[in-house]
Amino acid sequence: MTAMALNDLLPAERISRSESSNPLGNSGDWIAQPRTENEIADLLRHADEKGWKVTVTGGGSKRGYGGLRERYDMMLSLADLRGVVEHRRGDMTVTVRAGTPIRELADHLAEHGQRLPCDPRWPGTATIGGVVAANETGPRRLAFGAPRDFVLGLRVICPDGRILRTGGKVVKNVAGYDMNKLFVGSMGTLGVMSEITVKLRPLPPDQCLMYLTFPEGSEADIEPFLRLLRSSTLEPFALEVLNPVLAEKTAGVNRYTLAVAFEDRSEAVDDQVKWVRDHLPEGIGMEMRRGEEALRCWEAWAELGPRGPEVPDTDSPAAAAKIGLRSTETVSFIREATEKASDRGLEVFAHGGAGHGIARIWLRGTREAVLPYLAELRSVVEERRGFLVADHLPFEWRKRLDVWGNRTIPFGLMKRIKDSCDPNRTLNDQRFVGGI
Amino acid sequence: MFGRKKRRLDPLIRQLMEWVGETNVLYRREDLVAYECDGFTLKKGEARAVVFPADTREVAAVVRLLHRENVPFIARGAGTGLSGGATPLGGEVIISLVKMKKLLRVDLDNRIAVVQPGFVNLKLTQSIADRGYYYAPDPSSQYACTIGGNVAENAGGAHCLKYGVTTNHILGAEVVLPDGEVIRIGDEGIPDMPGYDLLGLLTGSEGTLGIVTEITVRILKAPQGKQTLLAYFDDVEEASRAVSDIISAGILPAALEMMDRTAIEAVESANFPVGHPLDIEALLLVEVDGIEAGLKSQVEDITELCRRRNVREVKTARDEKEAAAWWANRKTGFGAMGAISPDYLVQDGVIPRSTLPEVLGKIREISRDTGLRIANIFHAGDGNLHPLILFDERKPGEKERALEAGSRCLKVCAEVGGTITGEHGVGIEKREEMRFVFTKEEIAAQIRLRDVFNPGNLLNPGKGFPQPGRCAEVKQEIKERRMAEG
Ligand SMILES: Cc1cc2nc3c(=O)[nH]c(=O)nc-3n(C[C@H](O)[C@H](O)[C@H](O)COP(=O)(O)OP(=O)(O)OC[C@H]3O[C@@H](n4cnc5c(N)ncnc54)[C@H](O)[C@@H]3O)c2cc1C
Repeated sequence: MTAMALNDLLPAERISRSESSNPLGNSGDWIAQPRTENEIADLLRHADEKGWKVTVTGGGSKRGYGGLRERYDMMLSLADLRGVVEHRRGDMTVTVRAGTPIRELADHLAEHGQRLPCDPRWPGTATIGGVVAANETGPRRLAFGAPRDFVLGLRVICPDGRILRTGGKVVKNVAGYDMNKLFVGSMGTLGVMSEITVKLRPLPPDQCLMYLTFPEGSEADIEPFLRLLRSSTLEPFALEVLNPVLAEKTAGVNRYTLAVAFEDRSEAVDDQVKWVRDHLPEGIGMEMRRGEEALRCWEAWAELGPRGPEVPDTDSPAAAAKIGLRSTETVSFIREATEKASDRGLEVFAHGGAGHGIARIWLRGTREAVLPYLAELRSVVEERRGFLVADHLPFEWRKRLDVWGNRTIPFGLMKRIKDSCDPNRTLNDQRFVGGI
Repeated sequence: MFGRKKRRLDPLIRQLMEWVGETNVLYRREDLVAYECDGFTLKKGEARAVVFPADTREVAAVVRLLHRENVPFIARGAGTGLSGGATPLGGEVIISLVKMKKLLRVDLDNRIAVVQPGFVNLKLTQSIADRGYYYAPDPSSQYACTIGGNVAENAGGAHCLKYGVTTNHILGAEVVLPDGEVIRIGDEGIPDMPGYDLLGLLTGSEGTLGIVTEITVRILKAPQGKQTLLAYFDDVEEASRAVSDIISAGILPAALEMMDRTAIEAVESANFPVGHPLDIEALLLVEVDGIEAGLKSQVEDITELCRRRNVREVKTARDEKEAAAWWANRKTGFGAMGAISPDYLVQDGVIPRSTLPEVLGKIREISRDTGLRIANIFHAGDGNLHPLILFDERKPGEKERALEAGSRCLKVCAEVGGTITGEHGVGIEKREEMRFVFTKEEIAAQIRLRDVFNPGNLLNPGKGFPQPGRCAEVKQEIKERRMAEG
C-alpha cells in the first residue's frame, strides 16, 4: 500500500504513516481521517479492491477490545466525522455523525432538556459510533436499555463502497428487515456507520443515587434485600452491586455496596427513597446524592476502569471484562470474582447490574496472574450459561485467551453473514467472535 | 372408501402425516379455505396443506422434509396479521404453531418467561397478573394473536410509546432454520451474548428467516399507579399539536392515542360505546403510569397543555373500571368500522410526530379525491398512523380505490420522512411500497440477508419485497428522488 494511492483519495494532511506499534494492537500502517461519507466510500472501495485490511476507530477507547491482528494496512479514523446532522427536538430524535464523542452530543442535547438514553464509559473519548458498534451500556441500562433499543436508523458504508440506509428516522418502523441490528454490536466487521439516528429521552426532573453499604459479615443481607426491591413496584434506574475496592473509590467505603438510583419527578423520587429507608435491614449504611451531585457521581463512574488510548504499563497492564449473567446471580458473581482475585493476590474492581445481569471487572497484573484468573471466572460464568468477554486486553494476551469465550453460539450463520457483507474480509478482520 | 381415498393421497401429505399424525394435517379443499388469507383479506391463495406440529422436533422434521422436497412453506400463528404475511400465494404448506401453546417457565425474580410460539399474547399477562407482573407489548389483537406472530411482525401496541415494541422485550429464541437446523439464541434470557444480533434480525422478519419455536421474553412489574385521561378537541390540528406539546414537555406517557371524528362515530356505534360526544373532531386517550406520587402533577401538566390547545373537555378516569372501558372502546376500534362500513382497509404508516397536522390534512385530501371515507385511530405519541379506509367490496372498483388510497397515504408518510409500516409489516400488501422508502440497492442488501438464512427462499416466499419487474416507473422515480437527496 502506498501513500500515492491514498493521496488520490484524501488530502495529504489527513493521511499519515504510523510506524509505532501499540501494545493493544489494532494499529494501522496508515491512518486516514476522512471527513465525508464519500471519502470513506472511496477509501473502502480502494482497500477492498486491493485486498487491504482496514480497521475502524472512533475515539480509540476500545482499542484493547478484541482483534487478533497487531496491524492493519489502514486505520480509518472517524474522529473528524462529527457533529449533529439534524436534531428534531419535537420528535425526540437526533441524527449525528458517527465520530461525535458522547459528551459532545450529550451537551448539545442537554441544552434542549433531552438526552441519549445511554451512560457508557469514557463519554469524552468514546464516540457514538464506537458505542453503537460495541452495543456498550452503563449501569443505568436497567432503565435505558441498550444501543440496540435506541438506534432508529443508520447510514452505512459497505466494504465495496456502497452507501446504504438502514431503519429510518421515526420511532417505530418495521419496513423490511431490521437491518440496524446487523451493525449494532458487530464491532465494525460488517460496514462503517457514518450517521446514526437515535431515539432520545427527556432529562429527568429529579434524580438521586443511594449508596447502601453492607458491613462486613452482613453481605448475606444483600440478596434478600435485592429480592425485595426487585419484587416491589419501585422503578430503579440502576441497581448495581459494587465490590469493596470499587465502593471505596466511588462511595468512599470499603464494603460491599449497592448503588440504587431513581430518576423521576421529585415527589416520586422522594417516595422511592423513603421505601428504601423503610426496608433497609438494620446496620446498613446509607448515603445519598441528589440532583447535580448524583450527576457528578455518574460522571466520575464513567471514568473508572482502563481505557484504550492510554498506553498500558507493560509489566502489569490493565485488563477488563464484561460478564453476562442472570440478574439473580450478580451478587454471588461479584463476591466470587473478588474472592478468587484475592486468592491469587490480585485486586479486582467489580460491579454488576442486579436488574440487568451485565457485570464488569477490571484489574492490573502480570499475564501469568491475570489470564488464568479470567479463565477461571469464565468457567464459573459459562457453567451458569452466561458469558465473559475480555473487553480490554493487551494484544499479546489476546492471542492466549479467546476474548469472546467458549459458549456455543450459532456461529455458522454468523460466518455466513460476514461472508455476505464483507466477502474479502476487509473490515476489522479477526476483530470479532470466532475470528470473524 | 377411506382406504381408497388414502391411496390417492398426495405422497407429500402422507409423509407429513407420518411426522405429525394423521389428524394434524389438513389437505381437503374445504379445510384449507380458513387458511387462504390472514387479517388482510384482499388477497387470497390456496395452501397445499396445513400441518399442526406438537413440538420443535416435529417442526424441524416437517421443515427438513419440505426442504428436501423443495416445497415452499409458511409459519402461521393466529392469522391476525394485517399485511398478508401468513397468506399463501399458492401451493405452500402452512406450518401452524397453534398447538404449541404452552407457557413453559416463569422466573419472576429474573423477570423472564419462556413460551411456545402459539401462546396467545394476552394469556401471558393473565398468567402472571396475580403476582403483579405483565408482558408489555400489547397489540390490540392481543386476545388472539400469538407471541410467535408478534416476534415475526415485531408487533407494537398502545403502550409501546414508553415501553418499546416486541423487539425490546425478546431475550431469547429457539429457531428452526429453513433447512431444518435448530438453533438457540440468547439462552436463559441473558442479554448481549457475543456475536451478531441474530435475535434482532429475526424479530420483525415476517416469518421469512426462520420459524420460532420457543421464545424467552422480558416481563415487567405492573406499575404502581396509573392515570388515564380523555381529552376532547374541536379541532384536529389542535389535538395534534397537544400531542407534540406533551412529548416536548418531557412527559413520557405510557400511551398517547388519538381518534378522529369518523373513528369516534364508529366506536360509538359498535359494541363498546362509552359516550364520547359525536360532534368533536378528535380525542386523545392518554395514560401515564409509574410511581404513584409522581402522577398527579403529570396529569395536571397534561391537562394544562391540552387547555392551551383549546381542548373542549379533559377528564381523568374515575377508577380502573372506567379506564378499562375507554381502552376497550379504543382497542376494538378497527373492528368497530364494521358498524359504519361493509369493508375497511387498515394502513400503518409512521411519521415524525411533528408533521401530524400536515399529514392528517393530506389524508383528508386523499379521502376527498378517492371518494372514500377514512377514519383515523392511531398511536399518536409514536406518530404511528392507522388510516382506516372504508369501502364496499360489492361496489365495482371500490376495492381498487381503497388500495390506491392506502398506498397514497403511505406515500405521504414516506414523503415527510416517515415509513410505510410501524407494526403491521410489509407482507403481500406493501411489497411495492417498499420502494417509497428504500432504494433498489437497499432492498437488494435485505434480500442478500434473507439468502443467508433462507437461501432457497422456500420459507414464506414472495413476501416483504417488491416483485421483480413490476412498477418500473415508480422504481425509477424513487431512485432519482433518493439520488437527489444524496
Ligand atoms: C383487530 C386487529 C388489531 C391489531 N392491532 C395490532 C396492534 O395494535 N399492533 C400490532 O403490531 N399489530 C396489530 N395487529 C396485527 C397482528 O395481530 C399482529 O401482526 C400479530 O403479531 C400477528 O400475530 P399472529 O399470531 O396472528 O400471526 P400470523 O398472522 O399468523 O402471522 C404473521 C406473520 O408471522 C409469521 N409467523 C407466525 N408465527 C411464526 C413463528 N412461530 N415463527 C416465525 N414466523 C411466524 C407468519 O408467517 C406471518 O408472516 C392487529 C390485527 C387485528 C386483526
